[in-house]
Amino acid sequence: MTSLEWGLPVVAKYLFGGLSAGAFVTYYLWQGLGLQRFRPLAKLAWISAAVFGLAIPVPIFSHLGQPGRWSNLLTDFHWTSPMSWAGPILLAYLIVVLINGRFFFYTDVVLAYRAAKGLRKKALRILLITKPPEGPVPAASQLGLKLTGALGFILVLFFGYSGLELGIIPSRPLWANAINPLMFLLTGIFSGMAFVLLLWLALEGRPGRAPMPAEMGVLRSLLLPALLALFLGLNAISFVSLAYSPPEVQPAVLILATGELAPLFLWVGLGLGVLLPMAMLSGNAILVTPRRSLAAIASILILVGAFAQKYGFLAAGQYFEAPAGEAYASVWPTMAEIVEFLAVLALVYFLFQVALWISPWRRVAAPPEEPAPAKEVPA
Amino acid sequence: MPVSADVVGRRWTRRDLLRKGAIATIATAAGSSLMLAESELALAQGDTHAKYYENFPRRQEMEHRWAMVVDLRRCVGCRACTVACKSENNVPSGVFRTWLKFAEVGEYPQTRPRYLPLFCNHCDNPPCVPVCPVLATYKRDDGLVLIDYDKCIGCGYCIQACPYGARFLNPVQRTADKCTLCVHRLEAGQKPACVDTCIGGALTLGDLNDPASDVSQLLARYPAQTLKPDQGTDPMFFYIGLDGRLVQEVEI
Repeated sequence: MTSLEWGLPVVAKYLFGGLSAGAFVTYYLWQGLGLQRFRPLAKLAWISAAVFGLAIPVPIFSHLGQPGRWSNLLTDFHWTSPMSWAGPILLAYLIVVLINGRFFFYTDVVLAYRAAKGLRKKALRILLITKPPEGPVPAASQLGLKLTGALGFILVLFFGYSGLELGIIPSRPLWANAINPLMFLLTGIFSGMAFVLLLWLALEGRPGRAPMPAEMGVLRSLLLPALLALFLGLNAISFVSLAYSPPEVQPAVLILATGELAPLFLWVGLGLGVLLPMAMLSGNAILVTPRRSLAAIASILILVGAFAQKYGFLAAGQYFEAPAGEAYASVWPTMAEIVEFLAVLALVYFLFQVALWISPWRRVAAPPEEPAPAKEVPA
Repeated sequence: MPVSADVVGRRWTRRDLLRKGAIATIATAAGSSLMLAESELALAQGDTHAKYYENFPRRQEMEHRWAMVVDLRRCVGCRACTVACKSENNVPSGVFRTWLKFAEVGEYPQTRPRYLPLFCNHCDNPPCVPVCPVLATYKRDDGLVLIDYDKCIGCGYCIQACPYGARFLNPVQRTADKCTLCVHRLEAGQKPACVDTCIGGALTLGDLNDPASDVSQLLARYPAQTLKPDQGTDPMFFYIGLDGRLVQEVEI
């Protein structure tokens, strides 16, 4: 047995699921909950939610021994297995998010369609689904937008199933933790928010200029640091309770606290990935002029930290219980797994490029109307 | 005669509450005492080992209840069971359905070699079955925990859930795999390959529902243990002569 049974593909699945869920929550903060502060992020947040949502199946397929039988997840539903819930939850979530986008972007897509040419015009026509209207663009259904938004938000809350997947296994004492679903949901939400913030800063931030009032609102938000603080608190509770757990749990705790995985989990995952960005973002909230660079670095750290936490937790949990009396050679991924993971990341990057190219995430100016012909005035 | 307000919609007085409360308390206490006395009586009767296996979960529902007794006093650590299993079931190299752990226990120079053959325990409460997302892992009425290889998607969830490390991802068929107790041989009226080949006669397979079977006789005669009883899996593999130091050494 050379590599862990659940390695990088499973980490990627949890990571993409969390990023999609977090991005959708960021979008819903303005669209559903009406928090004006997050309005500038809404479009990029929706796009991120959709792209990561579409990317979730990729690592799942690469992890499954028999990916061709994926449909068994839907046809042979087993209610006692949280993994079985993944099929219907993910499918429903993707459908709801895509329908919600139809309502959310309708006006923008119609305007972009009118202004576009060539391949992009064809792509936008497909996104529109129905025949593009002529003349003034009718408003999309507000009821549909609100309903699908609320449903998507509820489905996001069910993304805690990924934590439950690990939490219900008593033979893995490190994982068998009742607060796992909440912890996984939290890492998902704050990593998704950090990603959207980073994407927005990369695409919309204007270096060298003082932030506009709308930007100031986003940069000064304390929501992200508050979520990071909550996560740290839950980690502390989990760590202390594990420290007092039976002897068979101790090796797994020690490998995270002082062992081979400590640099990754404790220092990169929690120190650099949660504690430091929490301080940086809190600092931004009290600075007279919040810094984009500070927010961008904090976001990158959060994303790296989310990966490190997930990998460390997953690896340490299974390291001491290899199948059939064998021992795992290492807690680290093999070169093949790393290459596969990088390929999946490259695919996600490509999907983002396509999504940003097609979608009208920047406000589209309405085409200039032709001047009305002068009326003839009878002499 | 008009219905009295005392009968319909009457509120309980403090006296009513005390009286009814006292009756309920006495009834509960009496019932509990009777139940306790009955269970004490049941425990006091007969051989406790035999009683334990007789009352094993689901026993009454099944025609057969396959169980294995591993008599460690007879195991010489030859690994013939591992080889026979590989040969019989065409298990790919690098993975095992049956394997053996070895440790020297005791303080030098009084050390002794101890061997521990390990298998899927075909638990009565198997943790691998409820987690399977596609119903590929199931438990038969005769107690065997099996895998539908045509349905398994190879997600590895059951591998994580098994506290005995008995499951693995078969590198050839790309599905979960484990000991089937040679179900194909059992159904043909033969013993599993490991039982047949064990040179010390340490492995005994039989029907727990049959009091005359070898396993029932062995379990009635000798105290036996299961692995990781704290996991609540109710394994169907019983070890006679299991040394706690060995379990500690091999980290089972």
